[in-house]
Order: sequence, then C-alpha cells, then structure tokens
Amino acid sequence: MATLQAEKLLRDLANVWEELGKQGVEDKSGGVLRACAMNLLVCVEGDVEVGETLADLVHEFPSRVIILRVKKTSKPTLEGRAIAQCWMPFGRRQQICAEQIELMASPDTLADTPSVIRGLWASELPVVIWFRHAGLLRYPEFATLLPMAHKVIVDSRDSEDPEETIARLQAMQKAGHGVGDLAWARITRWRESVAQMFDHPACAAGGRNIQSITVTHTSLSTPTTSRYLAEWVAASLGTPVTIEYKALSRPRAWEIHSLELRGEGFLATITRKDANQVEIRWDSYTSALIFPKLTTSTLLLEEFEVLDRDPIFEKVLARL
Amino acid sequence: MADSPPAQALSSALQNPFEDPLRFERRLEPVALVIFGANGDLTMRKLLPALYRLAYERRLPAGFAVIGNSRTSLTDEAFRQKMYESVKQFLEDSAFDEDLWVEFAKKLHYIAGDLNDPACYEAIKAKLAQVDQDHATGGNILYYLSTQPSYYAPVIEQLGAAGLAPKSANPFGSGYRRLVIEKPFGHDLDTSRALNEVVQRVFPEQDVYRIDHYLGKETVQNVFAFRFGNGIFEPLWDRRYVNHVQITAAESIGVGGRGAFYQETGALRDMIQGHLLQIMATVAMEPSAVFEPNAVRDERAKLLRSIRIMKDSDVLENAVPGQYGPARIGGEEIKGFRQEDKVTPQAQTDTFASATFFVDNWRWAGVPFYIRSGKRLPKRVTEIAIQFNEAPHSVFSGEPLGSFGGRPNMLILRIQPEEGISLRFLSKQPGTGMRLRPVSMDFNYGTSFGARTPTAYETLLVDVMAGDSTLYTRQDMVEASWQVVKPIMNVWGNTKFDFPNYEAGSWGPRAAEEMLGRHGHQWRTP
Repeated sequence: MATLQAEKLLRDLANVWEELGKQGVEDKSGGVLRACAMNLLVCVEGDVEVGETLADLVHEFPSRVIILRVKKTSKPTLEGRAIAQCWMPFGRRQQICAEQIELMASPDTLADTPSVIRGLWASELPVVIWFRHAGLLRYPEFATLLPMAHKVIVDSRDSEDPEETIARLQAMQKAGHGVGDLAWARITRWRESVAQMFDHPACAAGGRNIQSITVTHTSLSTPTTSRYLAEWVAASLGTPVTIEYKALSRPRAWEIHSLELRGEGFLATITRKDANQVEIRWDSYTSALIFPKLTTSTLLLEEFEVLDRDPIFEKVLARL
Repeated sequence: MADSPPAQALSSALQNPFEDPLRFERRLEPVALVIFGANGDLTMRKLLPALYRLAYERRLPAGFAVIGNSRTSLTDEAFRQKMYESVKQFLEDSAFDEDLWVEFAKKLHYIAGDLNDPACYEAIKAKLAQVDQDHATGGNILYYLSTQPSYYAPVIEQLGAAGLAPKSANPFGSGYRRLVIEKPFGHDLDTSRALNEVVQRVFPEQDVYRIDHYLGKETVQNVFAFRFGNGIFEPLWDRRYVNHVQITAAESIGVGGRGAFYQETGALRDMIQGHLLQIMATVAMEPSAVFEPNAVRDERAKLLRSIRIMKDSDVLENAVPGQYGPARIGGEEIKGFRQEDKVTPQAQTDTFASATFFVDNWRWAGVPFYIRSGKRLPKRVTEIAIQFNEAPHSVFSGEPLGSFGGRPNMLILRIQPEEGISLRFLSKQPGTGMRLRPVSMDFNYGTSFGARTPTAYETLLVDVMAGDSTLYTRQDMVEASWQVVKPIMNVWGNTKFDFPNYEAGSWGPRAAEEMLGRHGHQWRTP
C-alpha cells in the first residue's frame, strides 16, 4: 500500500533549506533568500515536462509549487520529494529560492492526494490550481481541493475536448469557484486594441451604431479564442457577431485573423499581418501594433494578476 | 454602500464599452509630446528609454507622437537614429525589440530651432497639426521642458505668444495642454517665485507638472501603501514611539563631467531641497482623506510648511556641509572635488550636506529628522530609517545589547538599491539563558514581486498623460522647501569652510557625526 505523509515532505523541505543555509555559510555567499508569495498546485498527466514554465513563473511570482503528476503505473504509486528552485538575480550576491514539492500518484491512489496536499499549503497565502491537462478535471478526487483554491486555471484551447472543458468551467463558476482560462488570456491584446481604438473620440462616435461584427479565424474548427472574442464584443455592444473561417494561401500559426466592425459610414478593422503584428484601421487612420509573443508562463502570469473574481470573463464564459 | 471591486470594475467598464480595468493597463488619451531639449542627456538617458519601454508594454495610447526640439539641425530620420542608439544603450532592465522599434520610431519627429525665436514655435505648431492628422493625437499636447533651466521662462512665454498654451485658442480642437518642468524650480526662493509668475501667466496650475523623479520611484510610492494601507504601523508613527528619523541619499560617484554645473548647485540645493524634503514629507505627512492628487499634495505641503525654519544662529549647529577630498579607493586614485574638471580650486561647494530638522506639529514635536546626502560616499544607497524608542522597562537589563543600546527597533525603508523594507527587533539567541540578539525581518521587492519595476520616468510620464499629479510637486511645496533651506544657504554662503573635510569613500565629515551626537544619536551605516 503506497503511503505519503505531508509532515515528511515538509521535513524534507526544511532539510533543503538547512542545507542551502549551510552552503551559504561555507561559501560566504550570505545564504539564500526564501521567497513565497502564493501556493501553486500544478496537475499534469504522464511525463509531460513543466519545468521550464515553472522556472519562468517562480522568477516572476515566487511560490510554493506542488506538482501533482498523475501517471498510470503497474502498481499503486504515491510518492513525493521536496526540492528548491534557486536563481541568482542579476547584480545580486544572494540566491533567491522558491520551494517545489513533486508528487506522483497513479489513478488508483489519486483519492489519497488531497489530504496530503492540504497539509502542504503555505499558510496565509493564496492558492491557485493549474490543470496543465484539462482532462484531469474529470477525476472526482479533485472536487475536495477546488473550494480551497482562489482560482482554478485551465487552457480550453489546448484541451482534447474544448466543449467539455468550457462546460466544466461554467459549472465551477456556477458553483462559486474562481476560474480562469488561458484561452481568454490569449485574446487580451486583441481586446485591448479594440478598447484603445474606441478611446479615440472620433472612433467612439463613429462606432455608436455598429450594425455588423465579424471575427475571422484560420483554423478549420472554430477555436475557443475566436468564440471568446466574438462573445466579448457581442456582450460589450449588444450586437450579434458572425464567426467565419478565413482560408489563407499558406498555413499560419495564429488563430484569430481579423475583427471587423461595420456601421453606417463607419468601418474599423484589426487584422493580423504576421505572427507579431496587427494593423488597425478606421476612417483614414492606420497604425500597426506589435503583439508580444505569448508563452504558457506569460499567460499564467496574467491570470495570477487577477486572483479576484473577473466579472467580464465570467459574463463572457456564461454566454458561450 | 461602497461598490465591491468587481462592481467597480463593471461600472468603469461602462465608460468605454470595451474597457477591462482588471486586465488592461490604465487607458491614456491620445497625445503629442513636445520635448524641448530633445538632444540632451535627460532625453536620451531617461525620457526616450522610458517612452520606448511604455510602448513595449503597450501602455502608450494608439494616437501618440513625439516632436523633439533642440538647436541642432537634424532630420526626422537622423533624430530617430540618434534615439535608437540611446534607447539601446540606456534601456534599463529590459529587452530591446527591433520590430517594436520600427513602429515606435515612426512616431518620432524633430524640429530644429532656436528657443528664443518665434519662428521655432510656428514650425512646432505646423508639425503639431501634421502629427495630429497622421497619428490621431486628438488635439492633446504635452510640453516637456528638458532644456537648461535658464530657457524655462522664455519657452513658456513663447508658447503663450504662439497660441500653443491652454490660455490661447486651441487650433487643434478641444485637447489639453500640459507642461512638465524638470527641477530645479529656481535657484532659490526668489528665482522660484519669478519662474512661477511666468508659468502662471501662460498655464493654469492644474496643467503644470513639476517633476521630482524621486517621488516616481516605486519604493517611495510604497511608503503610502505601507503607512496608509496597513493598520499596524500608523499608530506607532508619532513622537510617542519614534525616537528619530534618518534619511540618507548617498552616491559613490563624484561629479564626473558635471563639475561646472555642480559647483553652482551643491548637495543642499540639488538633493535636500530638490528631493529629500519631499521624501521627508511623504514619511511624516498626515493621511489624506482620499488618495487623490490635491488631497495628497495638500498634506505633503502642510508638512513642509510645518518644518521649523532655522534661525541663522542655529544653522552651524544643525546643518553641516562637506566637500570630498582626494583618496585612494580600491587601488584607484580618486580626485578631490577641487581637482575635478571645470571646478575652481577654491570652490566652496557642498558635495555633502546634512541637516537636523524638526517638525512643529503635534505628531512630531521634538523628533529630530536627520537628512544627509553626498557624493563620493562609500556606496550608492537611498533609505529612510525610523528609529523607535526603547521599551519602557527592560526585564533583560543585565543582557548586553551590543551597539544597538537600548533601542533595538528600527524600520528601514530602502528606496534604492535592494528596494524593500526591514524591521529590526530583538530575538532570543538559541541555547540556554536569555541572551538577546538583534535580527532583521526583511521584505524584498525583488523576491515578493518578481515583475520588473517601472522606472520613475515611466511612472511619471504615464501619470502626466493621465492627468494625475499626485506624484508631482506643486508650487506651494516648492516654495515651502526653499523656505526651509534658505537660512542654511544664507549662512553657508557667508561662511568660509575649511574644505575638503571628508575623504572620498568615507561617510562624510566628522562634524556630521557630531551633529547627531549632540542629540545622543549616531548615523547608521547603510
């Protein structure tokens, strides 16, 4: 029978700090700074690597990271270990370290993990759960952890079944949990560009009577990002939005191709020109904007910045 | 009932149907920024890198353009190339994106011209009309005076005469006109008032933004958050618990190539009047009822007016000047101030200034505020140290407390570098017996918030574009701080000091230590 005690992992963690402290005395580096601003539970399936993403995340948002790896094994498995992620900030003499606890469970021991995880949270700090694989939400064992989280984050775009993931997010939202979707964070720059366009009084005046709105995308199946953008625009203006597939001469890595807002004597468009650049047009005005490259860690960081309820996202999610 | 945060977010979102205050940066109106002195150090080292970084973070409005002005003849292209090089060189703690630069550079324009020549302002007016058309800047104009201070008054008068100021008819519609003035705001109280008279003739006070970049630093702003966002510190923040306050702004470098300028300025004018009194006011002011520009500035101004003005006879006891002499530091021969380029050999300039101030109000009566600033000190550091009183009765009286004496509690607000807050207190040393040792509880900005901290100029540029003057100084504050240093300037100006009186690389003259010693205190070593 596989067993695991939270106390043992915490003792291991304490030993890690003690060792790091001793090293600091020996090499006269002044030891390490222990940094922790949040609890982050990362749920992954199989052997998928998340190390690089987590390294980026803890630099920006030092956290106690608990990785729960759910992996099918020949016999029941439940094991864990504690390590520290350290880095030397530029120009400093002292390393900064964030703590990381890695748990591995087979599906048949998954029911035992919530009790261990509950004992591992750093107290008084927010709890965020990131389901790297949205399919893990199907396991009922996680139900007892969700109420402890300030936010549960998934990525509906990358999930095997986006419809099912959206439905689960809607259900969690209805149950009162804070939820986030990296697909929503992916369209922030699109949304901000629309808002920025309408900051200009002339554009805002021209856009008062929008009659038709079209979102085009380049994927054969409608991506969640396009649906979010369309519903957000529709919810903001109260005008229905059409989503269309746009066939391009050569394949593109992006999904949303353009947004067009049309009214009487008014046309405003935002069109993707290449991987990083979009073109904004209204009346005779044209400008180009550079969109930053998005990575999983930048998307997660955006979600971490919004740990309270996000009424605009919730409103759009409810409309999908 | 007050709105909950989500309700506030929704209500704000109603102004622009697409607004998302939780996710988007603060919205800024379109604007054309006219920089006078665009070929100078400040523009190249601070302003353009800050603007580029704001573009990188998509914080600039879509309708945005810069018109640079200086006497040097340059085409738009040459100006862009020059700015490209300086942004690449001086961008702090941030990556440079060539693609972004290409787009950003399209917004940079240049007009050469003599600031005393009305034709220069006609050319600027024509260029403003063009960029308003090309970049949809919405008729809003922000003037930034980054020239030598002697040009401030002529530029402001010419802007008025050319019909480019708020008190003139607006040729571009209904936009705003704002003016940013870099310090120094005058050379003394009289010249500050004279400059202000010119300003007020052309720009109403609400459109004038006097920049003190220290107030734009995140850690100075954090003083507000620390004091007024927490319930546990403010009750201790008065004469009953605080023994004294030390404010230090030390630089390890000398005057470099700025010898001629610095010889006329000195540490008292440059740092204490210009920055540190504002920091002192932020530390000691009363809480404002709301965090709004004039409410906060009213409280800061009140505090500055409450600083006791020294009598001439008290100055030499309570204010100590210093000037660094030559020394050998780390194997390198360091020149004394008088040996620096363009400095006269008998210069009486204060490269170090320290003073003891008292605040005459109920909260701070009798609490000394010690301020010091200097060049060629052992390291670059700016911090505020609040020394609390000893416990009313020590049950551990037999235990040695080392150099901390009976006052172990000190709160240190570190402004730069290693931005953060430390609280020193006593703890029991492990082992048998009750042996006490001071320990430090540290909050470090870098470890709690990994995100990059914006530079002071990024913060202040966004604020002025948003019309938020909270972190800008107001004329009454400027005059109050000149009033505070006036007697010191007078007495120092009429005294011949035996300079140099401290070695480069030391913490200043012995007399500065003695000044604190007279109150039973000593400077802490940062």
